[in-house]
Amino acid sequence: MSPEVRLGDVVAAVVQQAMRDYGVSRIALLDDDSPEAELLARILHERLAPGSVVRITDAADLDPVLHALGADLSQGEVRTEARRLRARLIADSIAASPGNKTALLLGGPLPPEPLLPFGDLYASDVEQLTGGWSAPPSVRALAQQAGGIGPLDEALREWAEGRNPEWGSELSDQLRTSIASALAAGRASRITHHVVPKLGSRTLAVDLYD
Amino acid sequence: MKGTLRVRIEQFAPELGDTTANVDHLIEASRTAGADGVDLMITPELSLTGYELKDSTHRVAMPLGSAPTRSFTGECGVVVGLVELGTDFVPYNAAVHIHAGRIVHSHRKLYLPTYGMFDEGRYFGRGSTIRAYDGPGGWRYGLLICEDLWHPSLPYLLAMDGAQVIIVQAAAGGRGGWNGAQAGRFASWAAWHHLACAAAVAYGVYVIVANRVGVEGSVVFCGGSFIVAPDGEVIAHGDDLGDDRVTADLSIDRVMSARRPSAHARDEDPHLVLRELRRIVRAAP
Repeated sequence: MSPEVRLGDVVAAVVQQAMRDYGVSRIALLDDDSPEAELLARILHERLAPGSVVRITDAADLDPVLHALGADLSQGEVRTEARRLRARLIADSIAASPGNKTALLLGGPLPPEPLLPFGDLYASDVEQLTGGWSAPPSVRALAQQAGGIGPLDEALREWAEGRNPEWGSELSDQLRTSIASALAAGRASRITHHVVPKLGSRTLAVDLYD
Repeated sequence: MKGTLRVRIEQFAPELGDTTANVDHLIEASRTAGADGVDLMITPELSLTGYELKDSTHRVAMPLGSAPTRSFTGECGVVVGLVELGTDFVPYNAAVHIHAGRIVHSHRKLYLPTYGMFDEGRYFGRGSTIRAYDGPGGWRYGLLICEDLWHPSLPYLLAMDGAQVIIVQAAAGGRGGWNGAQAGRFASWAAWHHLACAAAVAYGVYVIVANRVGVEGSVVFCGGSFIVAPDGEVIAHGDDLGDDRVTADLSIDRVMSARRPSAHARDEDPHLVLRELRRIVRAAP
């Protein structure tokens, strides 16, 4: 069995169990057109019953509603919140956010969706699987400063999986400080409950609360 | 003594908190095992209750006297995992060997993992003894539960107590299912194989590791149960992730022949170990 198949099996098994635990028959997948969303949709379509996955795609029609509510958000954020709102309106479902571990660790507070199927899969893993990866602009900037997503994830692995106080020794002090600040920004949200398929040795919502 | 012992690991996904459903499953499995000529069926850790019990621990706990021994009255023995309610009303994570409707031996987990994803020390009391025991077929057995195997002093003690078969129940989560996996296996299994094979070779014993499958919360239990012969060969291996039945014939001749060419087991000196441990313990702050 290839690691890719194993990954899909683990993710799908945990998603199915979450559906049972929540007593629902569908997943509302926030589809932001990212490589992660595409990969997750493929994994779930291949393994779950037909009709189990509802993709919440472009929600531009809800833009005016959010603007009317006075939300002070960028267009990208408005779209995200609109998808989020729409996902909550899908009956008999739980919402899943497709973000990768790098984006979730460094992108501020965790998303409110209960299911984070790729929450233990680094952006560089996604790149290996799909040829691309996604993250908020602030995380992309950190990757650029690190010399690519590979070195950034290597530092994160040392921090998270290795629990190494000397993590990121290859990076500049300034960049380490920026990464530490980004990690701290989401720290409080990491004590909240999410379902994250465990793939590595320290997993968000399971045993990574720092 | 029975020269050959047919054993089977019943690798399955216990229903969390549903003892009745799990006993029913194992009754049926033991019937099938008996029909297949199996002498002993081994089930994973907490096979009667599921693993992530949290505050349900007390609800499913039972005194050993209330264990479902009468459900297993056939010739096929069974090692089940349950929450034992001690006479001190403390719940213990226990392995219980049942044969012909009675308890042959029970073992309380000694090392309760309370780190990372594990929180056993919060819910269970810790065992305080370890014994090998004479069991069906005239073989001498020892029981361990999951984390116990990661403390090499325990298989050592069982071997010194004469065990020929060390049975390990496990509820091991799959880690490294993507990054670090080799040949499509969970990376975390490599350590289990090393530990089990090392114990088998060092002491000339069979080591049986019965792991569960299924999902509880965010954790996928990774199956992959296996049986190691006294010469270190993995003689039977279960599927990862899915239900499976792993069957093998254990031979007392193989125990003997594994101990013949080398003298590790013969030369092992527990007096030396005891002496030096006393010194170390006395010197400890």
